[in-house]
Amino acid sequence: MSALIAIEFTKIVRRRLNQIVLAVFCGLLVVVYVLLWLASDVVIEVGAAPDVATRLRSTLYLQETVPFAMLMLYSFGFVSGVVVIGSNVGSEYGWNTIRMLIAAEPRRERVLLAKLVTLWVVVVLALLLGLAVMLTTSALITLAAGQFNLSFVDAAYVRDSTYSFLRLLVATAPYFALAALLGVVGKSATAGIAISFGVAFLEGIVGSLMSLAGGWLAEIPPYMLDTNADTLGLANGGQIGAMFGNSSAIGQAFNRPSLWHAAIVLACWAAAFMVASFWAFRRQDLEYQG
Amino acid sequence: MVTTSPTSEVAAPADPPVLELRGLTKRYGALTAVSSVDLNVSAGEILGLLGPNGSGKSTTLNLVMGFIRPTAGEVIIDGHSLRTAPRAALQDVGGLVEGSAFYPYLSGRLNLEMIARLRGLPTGRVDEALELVDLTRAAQRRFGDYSQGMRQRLGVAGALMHHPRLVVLDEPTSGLDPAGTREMRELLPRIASAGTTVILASHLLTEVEQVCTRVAIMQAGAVIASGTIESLMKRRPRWRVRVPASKRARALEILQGVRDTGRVQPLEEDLFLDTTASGSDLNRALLDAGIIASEVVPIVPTLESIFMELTVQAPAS
Repeated sequence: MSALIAIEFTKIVRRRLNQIVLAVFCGLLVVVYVLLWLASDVVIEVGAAPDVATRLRSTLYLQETVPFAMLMLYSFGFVSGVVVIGSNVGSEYGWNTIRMLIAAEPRRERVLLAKLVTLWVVVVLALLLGLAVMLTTSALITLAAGQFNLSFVDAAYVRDSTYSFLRLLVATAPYFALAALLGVVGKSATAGIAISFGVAFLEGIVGSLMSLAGGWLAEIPPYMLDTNADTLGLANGGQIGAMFGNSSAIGQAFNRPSLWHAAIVLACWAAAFMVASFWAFRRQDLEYQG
Repeated sequence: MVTTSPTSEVAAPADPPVLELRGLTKRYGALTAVSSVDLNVSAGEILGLLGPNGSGKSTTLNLVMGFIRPTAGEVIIDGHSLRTAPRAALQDVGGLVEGSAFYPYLSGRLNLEMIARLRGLPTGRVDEALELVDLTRAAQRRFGDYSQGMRQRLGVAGALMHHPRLVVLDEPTSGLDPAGTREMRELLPRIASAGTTVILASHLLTEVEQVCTRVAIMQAGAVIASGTIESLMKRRPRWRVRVPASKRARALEILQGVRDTGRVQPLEEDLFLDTTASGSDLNRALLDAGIIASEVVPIVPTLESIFMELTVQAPAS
């Protein structure tokens, strides 16, 4: 198993696509911070909506930036993770390299397990790197604004930040598992990526419409992906969380479930997608794709 | 069509078989790609698997390699069932089926190193394999930049690197230049002489004739003939008879009446027939009917002629 994981890690790290996705992911996070800082600067200079500008700027400062950083990871990290997982699973079929792996290690479940574990670990490391990039950018902004200090860092801060990150992992896990499943079933990177995004996008719309429809239809979205993922994503707090989270008017209108409910439902979906991936992979024919 | 009983010839009973196919069947919906194939391959044999496109050769090899799952039947390698003990069954199997498969963004060497690591081989085997297929100098280049021939050679290197007991090669000379093709032809008997069993699927019948000790001919998913090349060649002799066009219909009737004669096929100016009768018997029969044959020529069978006879629809009379 260790040989399989080492090989998977080598393949993932050396692949140009993965390197580009990581660079774009981190680059975008920096750009968002810099743009928001410049925008707040302009708003303050012009003198329009000073409250908004001040709130925006404080979000970028190190002491308050973790919730905002988590929301950024929830959106950009979700997209990057789905691309990397769907692509790395699906490409094995397009290149026929899955046949090479199976010829050398015919126990298929081990091959898939090594691949999924390695991909997930790499994605988590990339999310941590993204967080580090945002914290560094935030620290530089805070320093430039003359607001830098680390007095806010205590055990509670570290604990809350860790919980936020764990919530992020649970919120994204079923989408990553879905990308892997679709990569396996569709036997292509395109299936893994495109259908995952399609499902995420459409499921959100359908879930929202069902919530708005009321009655028994409104009881279904709490057992779907989007409602629960949003619940966890927005639970990370901050100003956006306050605007759209459980306790907000919007959150109540959409009948958002509790955090535990959301976590359990998402974990169940992630597990179901994983089981389906293994089931499909064990049974499927690995024909040569010319 | 001449029929050959596959069941009477498939077994090579001298040694315990390295590979046994028992009633191997693969269906895709209504299409039966492989139909109840029974085949034994013994240690050190080079089995040529022949058949027209779509005959089920590649599907059979994919089943042997465990890439696709049989609908029915079983693949047994070295006494291990591929279904119940895939790891043990495929441990000593190397294959190149339908083309090489490597990561395009990694070098040839790194691709082989990954296989070596998976199989628990020392890195020295990678150098050995690269040397075997003459890719040492190109080892650091990305696989995606390799030519078709280099890709094929790397595939062969990957298949042979762990010194397998059974090697499955599907069109291994595809994409190779004449020198590479010759090297491959020389390589196969060499690896077989070391006790490795080889299954070679190829469209190049002369190549098969030169290197294989036994052939199995497939059509429509079934093995329709199997045996040593010599045994297939010892089939009923075939003759070509040329008579004037005006007498051809009558000559056909006469020849069909000759003892121990199979079908008589007219093709262009000639009549082709399978018979154990001698050339003088045929000539005499025609002369007795007042027909003078300008040519009565025995046809020396080749693997190609046997293959065509077995697999190609007989021309209309």
